[in-house]
Amino acid sequence: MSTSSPVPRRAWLVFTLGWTVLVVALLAHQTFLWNGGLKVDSDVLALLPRDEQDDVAQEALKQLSERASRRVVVLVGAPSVAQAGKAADALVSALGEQVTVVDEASSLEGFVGALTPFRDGLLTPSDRAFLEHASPQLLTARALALLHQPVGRRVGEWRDDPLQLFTAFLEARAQGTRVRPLDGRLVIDDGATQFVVVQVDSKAPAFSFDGTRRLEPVLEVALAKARTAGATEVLAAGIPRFAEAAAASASQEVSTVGVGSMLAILIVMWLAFRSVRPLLLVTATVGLGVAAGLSACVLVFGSVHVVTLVFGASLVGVAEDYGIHYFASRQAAPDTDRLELLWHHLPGLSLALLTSIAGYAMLAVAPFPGLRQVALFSGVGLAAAFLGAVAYFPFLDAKQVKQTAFATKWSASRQWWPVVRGGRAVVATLVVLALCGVGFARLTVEDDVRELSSAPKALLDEQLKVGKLMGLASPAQVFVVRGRDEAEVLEREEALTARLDGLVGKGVISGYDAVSSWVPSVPRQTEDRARSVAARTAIEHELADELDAAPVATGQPWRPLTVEDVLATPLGTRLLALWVPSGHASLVMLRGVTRASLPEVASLDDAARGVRFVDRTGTLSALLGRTRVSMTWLLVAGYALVFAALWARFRGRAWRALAPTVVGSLLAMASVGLLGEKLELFHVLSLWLLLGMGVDYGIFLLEHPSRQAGEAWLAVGLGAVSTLLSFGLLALSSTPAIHAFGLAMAVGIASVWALSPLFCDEPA
Amino acid sequence: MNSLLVLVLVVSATPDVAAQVKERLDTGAVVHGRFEQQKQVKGFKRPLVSTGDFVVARGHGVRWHTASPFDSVLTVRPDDIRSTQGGAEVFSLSASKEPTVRVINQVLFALLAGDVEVLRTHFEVKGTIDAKAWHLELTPKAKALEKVLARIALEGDGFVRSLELTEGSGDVTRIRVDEPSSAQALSAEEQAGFSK
Repeated sequence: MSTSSPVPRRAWLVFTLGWTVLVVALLAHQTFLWNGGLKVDSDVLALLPRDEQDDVAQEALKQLSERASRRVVVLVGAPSVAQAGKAADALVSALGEQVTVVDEASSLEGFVGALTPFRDGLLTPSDRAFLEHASPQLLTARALALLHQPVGRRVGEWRDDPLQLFTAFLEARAQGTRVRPLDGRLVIDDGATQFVVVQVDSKAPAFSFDGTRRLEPVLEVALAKARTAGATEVLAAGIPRFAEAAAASASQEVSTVGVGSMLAILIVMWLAFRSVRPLLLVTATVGLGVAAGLSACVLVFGSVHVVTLVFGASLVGVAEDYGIHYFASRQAAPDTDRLELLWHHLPGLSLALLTSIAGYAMLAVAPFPGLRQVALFSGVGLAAAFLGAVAYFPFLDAKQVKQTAFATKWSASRQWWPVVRGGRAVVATLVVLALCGVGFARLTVEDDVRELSSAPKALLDEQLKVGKLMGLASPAQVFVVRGRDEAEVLEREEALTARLDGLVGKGVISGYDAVSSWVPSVPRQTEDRARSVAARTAIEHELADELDAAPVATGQPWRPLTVEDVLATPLGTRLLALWVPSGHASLVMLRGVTRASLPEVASLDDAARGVRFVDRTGTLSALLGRTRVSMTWLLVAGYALVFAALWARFRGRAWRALAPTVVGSLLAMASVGLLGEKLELFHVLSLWLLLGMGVDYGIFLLEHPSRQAGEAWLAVGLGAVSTLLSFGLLALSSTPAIHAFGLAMAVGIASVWALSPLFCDEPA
Repeated sequence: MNSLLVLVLVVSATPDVAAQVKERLDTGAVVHGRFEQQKQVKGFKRPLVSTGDFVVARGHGVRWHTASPFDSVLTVRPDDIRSTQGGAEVFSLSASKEPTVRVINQVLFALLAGDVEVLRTHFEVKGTIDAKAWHLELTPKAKALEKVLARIALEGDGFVRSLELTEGSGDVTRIRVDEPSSAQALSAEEQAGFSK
């Protein structure tokens, strides 16, 4: 205990009043938030960093995911299309008002009609090659052979397209999907099973605080109806299902962690203080902290992510520390003036607060927006809870704090803790080293961005199956093609797709989606049109004796098809989802990419020609790995910094405050290996927080080194129980990253708590 | 999208027509014959006439060999369709890549084999039947298909004897079947033709 300057009572009062103004503002903001102003994000993508370099890819992918964010695709399968269709109708009527049905089948006809005026410029590569070399006689022979066939593939009149070039073009485009229009429905022929495709947009919001699912129950009933109506297989996919599952599990985790920690606090506080006032005051500071964290997040980020809420719920178990500490010291020194008592403890408490905030702040160093939100939420929340305690406790806590048997016993238990020295220290060190040795030897590393998602496996499997049946391209790996203008983008894309065609030919990938497949570049269309017209003229010439006089050309003169033309058609936005309107850029999405084929695909990256390969999953996983390594090295620096801060206050005894945290951290890492889990970034991040919090326990105890001074031990214990519970409950999270974080924290906190008194030697 | 791609499945039609036609048809698994096809195509002064021979074999499909005015072969198997001219491929589509191929092949087979049961899943079927001969009028059930293939007239007795396909554009294809005969199995040579 250090002697302190006289209490600045007037300044304190001014501070309390000033803080009250802030609290009133906070309450006003909260009222606004809870009356519909709160935007909760449940999209995992929002947690991931934006790569400044591929902002175009970001924009395009965002555009894609926004369009898809409400879309649910259901495949209704049966042995015949008729049976599947009946089941699909049953499904749609059961979905009822919850969704809007999207009808793409009927827009197809108008779409072909809209492309028809441009058809002379639209050729497949094989037809282009044929026209290049064929003699007029060969052209004519082929035209007649096609004509003589009993079945035709012709679109429109023979004379307009004697070689059925437009048909071939449309057929080639249709290869991009296995979905076919059939009698006003979209159908997938999967051999024995015929699937009718039902597309609906969900009207239900993904997130609700009570965790109720709006879409899923309705969907399940509808799927069951489809089965009773004759469907043999029903598959549903779509972002709303994932968003709702994530939101529901998150809101459940928020309440588990929040309510669990709160109950723990209330129970231990009741046991220790047997009085309502400390309970209410500490609860109030915790509430203040959570509210301030939430407000800060919304003010800075515009919305709050569900993962932040889950994480934020653990704040409950941390923010109560300052209040508990105050009441424990009051209990120990009931007759001391309250302001004086708190003033006396302020340096230690402040240092503890600062180290905790610094621990959270380190989360923000990692380049993940999600972690920045968590850091802001927790840092602000912690500070608000602390300031709340300092501002109000001395004034509102009027009564005497009761002595309780529980508190007395707990305080006294500190005496039972041995202090490590001599031979015992060696043995203890060996035990810890052995544990760490075994644990570390079994440690393996995993940096997979999918750890951030809690998507249930069943949903993922269903999604994959639907994607495979429909032949959808994956947005995980894309090429971004950039240019000065539309013309250059399309030309550059064609250069890329020519090389991709080579990969398709070699079987490296199975296909790709590109804007230029629908809208070839102007030079290509102009050349192809010249080829088409020349071929047609040659055929007309060869068959002049057989044919009527050529009809007089009517209608508009030919011009090349533009992106805008296609976008104006009923299917335009769907087909050209890869077009980035503002960026003079486009995406090329790939089908059938495997881990093995990635390097060969990536080698087509050609920055000089505006082509960039973006492997989102790979890039993010690599980033997770790099961050994990750099955060580990930074941790060493962090320890040095904290040690310097402790040195300033405790000098030669500073190491005693830090040692429990070092050992706790080592044990936490070892436990990851012992439990057979994979080491990831989130474990390392938890070590930062452990440093920030664990050192608090050391500080509190070193501030009250006497083994008879049990109140610090009581405060640390009460705080540790609730902190432990908060993070222990986080370890139950279905999101692997949160689970990892919670587990390492729980092991670490428990170790630090148990170890702190061992290092706390009484000063000579 | 076009006549191949927009064939449509819906079920109706009276079962007795199917049964009655079936009663009159030859039961052989393989039907051979020669054909004369006349096409009236907008833009051409005269109908385009072609002749050749064909094989329709259950389980194998249709092989349509045009001998005159020039040699070309259309092979329609359950899972693909392929056209060659002088040995060179003009086009080919497989059902695995283009699922509608299966439907087209099914319909073409049914037309030449007189399989009303299959046809009525895609068309409204009206017909007149007497002691030996029968005459059917088919109209597509799907509106989208009507624009491409307006109607089909089909005549036969123990075999399909003539076909008349009227396209949405007004072009008409008339096929006359000559010297039909049946067999229980494909000859080795025919078999080879299908497996090419």
